Amino acid sequence: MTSQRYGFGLEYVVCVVCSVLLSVGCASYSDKVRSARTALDAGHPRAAVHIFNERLGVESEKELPNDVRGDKVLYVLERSVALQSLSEYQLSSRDLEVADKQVEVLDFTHGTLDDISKFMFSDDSGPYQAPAYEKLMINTLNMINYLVRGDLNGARVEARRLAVMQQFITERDPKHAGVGSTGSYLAGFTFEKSKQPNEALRFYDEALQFTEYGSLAEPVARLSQLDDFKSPRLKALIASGASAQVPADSAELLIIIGYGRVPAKVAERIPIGLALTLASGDLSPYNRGQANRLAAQGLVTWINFPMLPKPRPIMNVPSVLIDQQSIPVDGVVAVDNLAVDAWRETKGKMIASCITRVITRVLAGEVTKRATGGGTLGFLAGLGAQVAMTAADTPDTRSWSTLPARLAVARVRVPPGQHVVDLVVAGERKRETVTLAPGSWGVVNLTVLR
Amino acid sequence: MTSKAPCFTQRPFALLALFACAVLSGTSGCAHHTRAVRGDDEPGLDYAAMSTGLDRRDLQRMLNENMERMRTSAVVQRWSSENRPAVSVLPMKNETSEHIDGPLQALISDVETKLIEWGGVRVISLENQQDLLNQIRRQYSEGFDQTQIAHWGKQIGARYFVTGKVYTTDERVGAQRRVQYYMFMQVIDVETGEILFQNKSAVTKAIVRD
Repeated sequence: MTSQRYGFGLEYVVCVVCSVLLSVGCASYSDKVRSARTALDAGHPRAAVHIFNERLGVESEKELPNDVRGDKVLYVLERSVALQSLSEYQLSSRDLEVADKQVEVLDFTHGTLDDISKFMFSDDSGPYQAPAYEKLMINTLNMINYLVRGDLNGARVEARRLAVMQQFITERDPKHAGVGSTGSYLAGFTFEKSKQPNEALRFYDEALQFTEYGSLAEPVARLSQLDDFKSPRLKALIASGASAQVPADSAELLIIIGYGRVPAKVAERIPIGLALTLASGDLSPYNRGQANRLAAQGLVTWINFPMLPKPRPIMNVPSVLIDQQSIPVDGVVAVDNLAVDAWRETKGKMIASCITRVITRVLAGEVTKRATGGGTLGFLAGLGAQVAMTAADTPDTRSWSTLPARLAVARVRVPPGQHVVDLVVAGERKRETVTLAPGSWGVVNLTVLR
Repeated sequence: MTSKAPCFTQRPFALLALFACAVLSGTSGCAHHTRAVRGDDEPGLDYAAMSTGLDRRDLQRMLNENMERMRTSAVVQRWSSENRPAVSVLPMKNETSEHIDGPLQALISDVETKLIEWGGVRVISLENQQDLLNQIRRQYSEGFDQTQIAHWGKQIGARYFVTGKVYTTDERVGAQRRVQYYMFMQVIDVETGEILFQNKSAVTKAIVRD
């Protein structure tokens, strides 16, 4: 009776599941943005922006889609950096602000259903969970957008958002706290120019905790005369003997250079034996036993897994010339290494979930075969279930792949008046003429994503 | 016995299959339908919180609370004895972790409207004095210089300034984020720089897990 009750509907359900799974089985995220990455490699950020526009379903970068859910939030993030490299700072700001809110919502909406979905079908079936370094980079890059436009109000909002996120990461995951040192430097600069020395010193202290910034010696010495906040790091920097005196009418220039690109995850097949070794600490004894049994039977030989290639060697050293005078570049932060660290941490878990899904697929195939009474129909149904689930299992290659691999700053005091800034990195040159009033400041940015 | 076997093998799979359909239809993201709607036609549209930013309802609530206090304050009583003194509304300072400069800008007109409705003062708008407005905004941006108030007052011909600032306490713990907004409104005597009225109103916005 029970057999009859389920027997008829089951074949139908198998067909429906297979059809649905096959219909959603699609290219991984890295496949979808490969052409944009190629365009950036070739030095065509405008072409990359067009590709992201297509992915977002909009006519131009001036538009945002009605719905920024799912992977679209990543396309918006990707586009924002390409726009920054094109000096479209206002549009880049808008993209980063929209994505910032959405990344936050995605963080909170991750639920049990997503975990089950990941466990059964595909790592990228759940909402995107941005790693710590990406979250901090949103506010860091947007601070650049505001500072270049001379908008301290906007930069302060981003600095405060960065501080909230830094505190959250410090409390939850202290080893990632150093990720935002460039952000802390820029936040310190923002509050220094807003005439809020206490906040400036606190942010500079955070920046110095993880990166050496020689260019902070003079500002820290000067700000320490206006505020009592001291830390061992700040005291050490002051003791290095930097002068707190600056010519009264001098102006200041801050140069921010982003270059290279973080490695992008790619889907790769690895042998089950290697996968079991890599995920040994993250796999339950039961699943390990199952996987070993299936491997021994020859039912599982490979798993499809997102790999992060080694970062490309960065041979370029940025050159900063102000009025033909070379200025040293300071505190280079390796964002690509942060991406590698973040991936290494989750690698074991990701392989473990891949193995678990493979086991689920094989078992689902076996169950289908038996449920449909074996024979040819059973074999086909079992195979169909496995094929459909394999098609749906796209490795989670989602990441913010247009982030610059390096972020560097250079800072110099200059007399008021007109100055010519020449920046060169990765074969790209930018010349900008800046006019500074006495006591004022200016920020120049060059982002080269190759 | 034979009739029981399918129970153990088929039922879980049938459930698994149905679950697969349910999950995939929920996660594939292919069938979102969007449409434009009008607030009047969608009951509650203006009431739902969409983010931790400030919306019209939050701003109106904080503004009304502050303006109601101001209406009954000593300084407004004083205005009635001063033969319609000139009052100007300065932009509000955004000291929050949200980009709310646009909504704060819109509040200036709301405050001016209230003052006009009360009567007893001449309201001088800064809208037509863009250079001065830019100067004030730059001052806000690069650190406020209190001594500028008298200078601006003379330039505009205002006896009093109404202004304000919005602060936040922004916290994120686990799967929740809470932003507490505090709006301070002030009435400043242009000649002396003295704060004649100050009041605070508060609103909390959050993203919480149900």
